[in-house]
Amino acid sequence: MKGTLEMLILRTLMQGPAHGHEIARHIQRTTEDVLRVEHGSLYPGLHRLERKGWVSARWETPQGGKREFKYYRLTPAGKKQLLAEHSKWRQLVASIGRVMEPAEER
Amino acid sequence: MAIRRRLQAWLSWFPWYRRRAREADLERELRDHLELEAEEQGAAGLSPREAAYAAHRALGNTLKIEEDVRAAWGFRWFETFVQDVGFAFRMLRKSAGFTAVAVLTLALGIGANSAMFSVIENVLLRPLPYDHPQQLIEVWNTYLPAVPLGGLSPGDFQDWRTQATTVSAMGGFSWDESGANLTGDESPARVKINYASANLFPMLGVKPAVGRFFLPAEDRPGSAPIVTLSHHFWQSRFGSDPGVLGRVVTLDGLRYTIVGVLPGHSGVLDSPDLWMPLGQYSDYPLTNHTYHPIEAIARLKPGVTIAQARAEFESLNRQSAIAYPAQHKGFGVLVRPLQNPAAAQMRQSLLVLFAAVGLVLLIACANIVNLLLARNAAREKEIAVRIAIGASSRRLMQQLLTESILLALAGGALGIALAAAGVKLLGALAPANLSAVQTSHLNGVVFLLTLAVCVLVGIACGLLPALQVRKTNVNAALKQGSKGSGAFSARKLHNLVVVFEIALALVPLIGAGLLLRSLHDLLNVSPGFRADHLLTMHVPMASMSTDAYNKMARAQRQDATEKRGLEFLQIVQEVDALPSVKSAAGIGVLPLGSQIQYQSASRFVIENRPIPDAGVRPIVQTRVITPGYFSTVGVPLFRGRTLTQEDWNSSNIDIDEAMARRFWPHGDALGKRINLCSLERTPCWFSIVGVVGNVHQFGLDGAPTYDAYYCGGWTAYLLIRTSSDPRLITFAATNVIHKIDPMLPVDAVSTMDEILSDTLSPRRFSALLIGIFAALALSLAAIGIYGVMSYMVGKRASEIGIRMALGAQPRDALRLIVGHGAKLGLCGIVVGVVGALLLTRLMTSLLYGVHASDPLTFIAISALLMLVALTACYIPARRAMHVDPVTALSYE
Repeated sequence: MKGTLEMLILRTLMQGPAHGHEIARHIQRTTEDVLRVEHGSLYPGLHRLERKGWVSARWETPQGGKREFKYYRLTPAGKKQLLAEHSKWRQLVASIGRVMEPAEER
Repeated sequence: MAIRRRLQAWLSWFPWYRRRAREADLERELRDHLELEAEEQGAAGLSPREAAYAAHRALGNTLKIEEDVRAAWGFRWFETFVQDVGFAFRMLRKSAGFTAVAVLTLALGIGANSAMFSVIENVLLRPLPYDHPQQLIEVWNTYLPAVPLGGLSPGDFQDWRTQATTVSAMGGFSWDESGANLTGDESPARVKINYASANLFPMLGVKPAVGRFFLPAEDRPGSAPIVTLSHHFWQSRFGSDPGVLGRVVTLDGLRYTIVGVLPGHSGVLDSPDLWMPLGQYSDYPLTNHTYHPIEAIARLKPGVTIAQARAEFESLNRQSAIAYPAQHKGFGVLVRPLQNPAAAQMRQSLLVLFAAVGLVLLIACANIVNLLLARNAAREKEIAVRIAIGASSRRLMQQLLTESILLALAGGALGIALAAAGVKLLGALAPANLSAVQTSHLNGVVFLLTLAVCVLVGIACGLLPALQVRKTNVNAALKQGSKGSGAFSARKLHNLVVVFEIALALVPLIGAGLLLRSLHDLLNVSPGFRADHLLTMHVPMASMSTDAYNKMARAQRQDATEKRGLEFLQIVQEVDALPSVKSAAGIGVLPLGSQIQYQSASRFVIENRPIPDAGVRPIVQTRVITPGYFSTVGVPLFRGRTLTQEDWNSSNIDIDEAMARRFWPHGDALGKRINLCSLERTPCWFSIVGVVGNVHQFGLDGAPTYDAYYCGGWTAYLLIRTSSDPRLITFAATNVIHKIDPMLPVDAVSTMDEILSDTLSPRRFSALLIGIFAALALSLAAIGIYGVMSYMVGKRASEIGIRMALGAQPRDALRLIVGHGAKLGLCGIVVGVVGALLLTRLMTSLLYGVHASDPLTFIAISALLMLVALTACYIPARRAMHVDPVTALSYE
């Protein structure tokens, strides 16, 4: 679905700053490899989000680490956007659910 | 810090900003990812080499990712754009012939428009050079239907400017220019004088170039006599000498001190030579409610609308009518935004010309559309290949549009160069009385508009051919030997464009035809006298100040006027005696030359007939002449006799035929009496002793007038009939005049032929311009038709070859092509005639003697256009005649 990947990225960053590889790993792990995201498609999404001002990026050295990574973090605008997307998604899922399993409603 | 971040965020929208840093950043980010992934895979037990491969597999195609990320940065449009421009440039260079024709066509269309627009911008669009000109309004009196626009009386002006609350200030000036004789060290000259209220220039925001304007204290009767010079008079008479302040000038024998100089280009106030305070306007004291000489300008208070001001002045006007019923009854008031009278006068012809030149541009565009269609058809295979390997039709259209916009921009650049030359040419061709045209030049506004027009033209020309690309059938186009798939609809498009082009060309052609016929008709109008070998000169006498005049006794006044009048007779007699002079005479107002209808006219009543209301009494132009005027100028006598020396200061008049016919249709005008002072207290009865021919008093296109001629008094214009070149007598005649009175100015020396030609010059100018534009339209259309027909013949060569192989004669081929062209021509002409019928109505006020839908013009011009269209078809058709069936078929 269009924009889903971006929503997942935002949701992932909700837990704290992360670099590209961490984000990819996290999405893959939490979906138990159901969503086999090609790692490459992550980066255009990340850069789009950065351009929209929903995430910010900085080169940082993690605690105890030796080298710098490009860390992305959620901006206040990104948080707002995530909330909006989330509620939209919830509505969508609910309405699809009503269509697919109408028996439950009765 | 925040500002810096914001600036960076903003800068990041620009493709160039830190481009390299970003690229390095991305590369490093992706490399990190691969390393991390490889480390993880390595921990899972893969060899470093295998781990690296696995990491690459997981990440995907690095190049594609980088492309996608760049797209996310949002620079793709720019890169595409740069690519497209480069590609378009190469394509245009490759087909140099096509490019040259297209650029030249567009340059002509765009250049003509830019030149015309710079004139429009200068004359119609530029605001007046005053502070906040949109706040300024004009206040006029009206007396309908006779006087649609008249000045205010000094009394009303004084009352209203103190009472009006919707305006912050109200200033005024006398708009019937008075003249005075300037005498002094140099040769005497006639100068034009306007009177302005002290607050007029400060209210407008005009600052003096030197010195000052009038003080309120000087704006009263009896204060020290002062003048302000206009800029052009300061330059011509005083050589722009800044030390002119405090100098004294002598006008009609009185001395005035110069206190200031106006700046150049004072908008609507440029025409007079000198300005004096309105309060010293001795002809009309500021309490007068009878005469209406003042043009009033007021400045609206901030936030006040013109409608509110109009309502207030209407109520002030009603109050005046109540307070002064005898003088002010029947007067209306007119309030409108301040406008430049020169602009208003030229608006109609300029807009017509602009419309014509706009049509020329449309025709140029149509030509480009045809060229592009033909070229894209030739490129169909190339386009099909590109679609086949994955180009989206959107991308292709974008590319084709880039090409046509680039073409238009090149055309525009060349067009601007043409326009610069065109504007100079316009200035040179423009008659002297259209000075606003002469000062036009290209400026920023014109450049901007030209740029906008270029882009628009590029899109307009490119869109149709680009849309055509979408219909490309890749399969068919790529087949061996295919002539192209879109051929049928493209042919229809070509036909449509040709019809459109012919229709467009017809409109300016008919416009030009109508204007030329008007001009031709006017040239055949007789002015009512013989204009050849006739020299005219203005010899005004110094007027007596009203004060001095009022102090004289009645008998003294008569003596003084009589003496001056006889002095002029002496001038006439001595000039008459000069060698090569056939005869000489004088008249108060020169025929043809006058602009002001009420300068020397009065409402009259006829003895023993019912007397109409004052406002509807007929108007007669009254002209003072010297005996022998009619024979000198060549006005024929129809009945009775012309005035002679015996009629000097008598009550005998000659009238013109129009008047005799209208009021005495049975030919019994002689001996009848009319009162020429019907609006005044004491009547002045005149007896008609002769009927003479009609004369055009207000230009050849002016409406016929009723004229009455009398003898006695100074006649300001001297007319000299010579046997050789009339100019040669100028010096001798001036000498005679100065021998009699060295203080008399002699100006406006001109031959009657020149005056006649000057009255027609604005018409000649617009007819010439529209003629040029129409010729341009015709040649562009002819080139377009020729191009399409040649193209079609090329396309149909094999068809014609087959026909010939089957026994068709060359004549049949000719008929095929020319018949096709004739059909298109007829369709175009039908559409064009309908368009022209709608559009030429707008130029009715510019026409003389012909109707806007004059059938003769319509038919003749249509025939001309048809002829040109058929000629343009004939050349390619001849080629079709010589098609060799063998070659044409083997080519397939």
